[in-house]
Amino acid sequence: MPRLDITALERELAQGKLRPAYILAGEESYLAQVALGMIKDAAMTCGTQEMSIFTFSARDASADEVLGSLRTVPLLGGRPLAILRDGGELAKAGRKVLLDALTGYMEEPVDSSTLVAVAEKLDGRTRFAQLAAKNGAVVECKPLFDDKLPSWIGIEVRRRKRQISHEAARFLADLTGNDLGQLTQAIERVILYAGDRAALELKDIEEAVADTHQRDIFDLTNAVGERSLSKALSYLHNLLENGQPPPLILHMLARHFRLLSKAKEISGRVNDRTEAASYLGVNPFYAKDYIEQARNFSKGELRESFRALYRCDREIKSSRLPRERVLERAIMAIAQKKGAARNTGSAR
Amino acid sequence: MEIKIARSELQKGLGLVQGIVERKTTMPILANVLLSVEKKALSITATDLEVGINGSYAADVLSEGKITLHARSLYDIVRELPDDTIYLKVKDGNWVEIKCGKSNFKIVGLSPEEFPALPTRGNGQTQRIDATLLKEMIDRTAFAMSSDETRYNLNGIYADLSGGEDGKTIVMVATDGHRLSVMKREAGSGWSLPKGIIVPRKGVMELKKLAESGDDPVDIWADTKHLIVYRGNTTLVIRLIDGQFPPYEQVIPKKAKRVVSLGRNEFIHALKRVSVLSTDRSRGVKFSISPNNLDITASNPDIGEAREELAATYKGDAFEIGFNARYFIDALSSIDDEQAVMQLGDDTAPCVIYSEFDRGFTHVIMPMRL
Repeated sequence: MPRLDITALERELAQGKLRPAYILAGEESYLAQVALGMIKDAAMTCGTQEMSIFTFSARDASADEVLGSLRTVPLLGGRPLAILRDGGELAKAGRKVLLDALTGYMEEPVDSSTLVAVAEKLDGRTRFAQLAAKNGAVVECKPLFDDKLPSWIGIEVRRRKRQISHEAARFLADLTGNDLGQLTQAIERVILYAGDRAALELKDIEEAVADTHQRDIFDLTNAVGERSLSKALSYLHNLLENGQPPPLILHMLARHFRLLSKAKEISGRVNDRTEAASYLGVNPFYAKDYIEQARNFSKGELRESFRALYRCDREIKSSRLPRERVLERAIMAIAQKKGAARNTGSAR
Repeated sequence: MEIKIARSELQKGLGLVQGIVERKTTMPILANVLLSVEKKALSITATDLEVGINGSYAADVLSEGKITLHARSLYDIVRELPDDTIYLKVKDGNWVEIKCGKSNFKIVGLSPEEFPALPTRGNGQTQRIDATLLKEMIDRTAFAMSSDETRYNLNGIYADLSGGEDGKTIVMVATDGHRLSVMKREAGSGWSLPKGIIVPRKGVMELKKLAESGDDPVDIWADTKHLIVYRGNTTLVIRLIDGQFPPYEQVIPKKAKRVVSLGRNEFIHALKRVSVLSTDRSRGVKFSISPNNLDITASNPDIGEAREELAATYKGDAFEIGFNARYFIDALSSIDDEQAVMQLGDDTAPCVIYSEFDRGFTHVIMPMRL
């Protein structure tokens, strides 16, 4: 049952494999647009012409229009490509005839035609989705996790006939975040800056791209847990500039340190990630991070952290100090390593 | 502005513009008609910026002037008025008083200054064409126009008004990517208008309406941007589609591998009957052709199956091919022949329908994989 991500789709199409049906499923519309572009390009190399591309919307298309375009030989020849947008509409009662027709078609799709349905949401339990996955492929177009961004950047750069190192791609992803529209614009800027050079380098990115990554609260808590002070302060300012309320930031820091304290308790005793996750009450994917971060703090430091957070809570609620300063002071007290703190202290 | 006009005359003028006036528009002025009085006539103009129409109607002019009024409301009022003389007077603040018999209306309009001017004719002569011929050419091609808005260059009729080599032949072509309809006709001499213009769907429909409205000939003028049509006191202005029409001539097969002919009427009725059972999923029917016989079959898993046998003139090997029944019904309904003549190739080659009596008509239908 093929479920492809964008990288796998690119690889498959480069090998000349064009399936009779694709569902581009997921709410990342930019990713769906790129996947559709890739399929169109691949279809064009297989003989599809502008005249044999038919675009419909699942809101109002009739079954005979969509299936007629797939089953009928195009006037100027070539492989018919039917694009069905707004695929999420198929779940509505009024579109049952179209859904049934497409389900029937998916039982035995025409090999020499391609149907691409673009759907923000897809119920994988429907027979249509199951048949599409069996006789075609479902391409995942969900927002990308940060670890997938460098390879996505690689695809986009290669599509523009340039190269980029993994390190540079990671740096670019870190500056821009996972908004693919912004990321593409940033790539365009770097390419313009690099001029005719085929390889995009780290210094091109440093020069051409500003840090516009909208951080989330977990970026901050992780930076504090990793005791990376400069990152933590930079993320704190980013969050405050984007309107995150200080009490929420404080609440999430306290939650993070409660989890780190629990992780410290089981450190060295529980090695199984699932067991650790169950004890911590978090997703197993993240359990590893808590256990690793807990190693950065001694038990005494964790106790000190709670004191710092308590002071911060009291000051946010009662003092006239700017909330930003209060949070900064708490983060510095927690994230600064002992030696560094002493140095700062002696300097004062 | 102050006029007296016969209700029938005003109703005729307003009726002609109703199809053009935009009902859902972001520009309220486009939902209005421009009433303009000069000398002894009332001129009624409407446009949606793509198609515009202007007609002139005899009226008893008491004073000249202009006003725009909501087209639909004015038409609804005039239609319901008694068959008498209508008195129409513009008052201050764009208010208009309408009187007819004992009926009295006061409606507000918009300033005539806001109404967009219709494009005017440039250099070059107009060309006269018989209205019946124009209507016939539209009837035999318009049904094949595409309604897919993303393929804007197919959303109309392509017309070659250059007259060809002899300056006499004009051509109209329409396609939706699965079928193609071509009409070539001799239409007088001296044609020298542009070669490849695409008239949009709405313009085609208004042009047909104008051609149907009487027997007088129609005068045509065109450049690369506009087509202007004159008939009597009416002028129709159509903004052309700026696009490339596909090279349609290369689609029409030069040689026919198989020729099948059969009674057109029986064929249409059989197709209509059988297609009731073709699935609403593709409207596909299968033709099984064997010497002197054509079987049409359709099956629908939810309803059942249908099979109809027709006598046909065909000499050759037996073969099967699938088609959208509606395409055949549309094409065969547009001609008047007793016999339908189809030229076929293999199961992925186009089917060409010719008319025995109208050699200028060529229709191509692409097969379906059933």
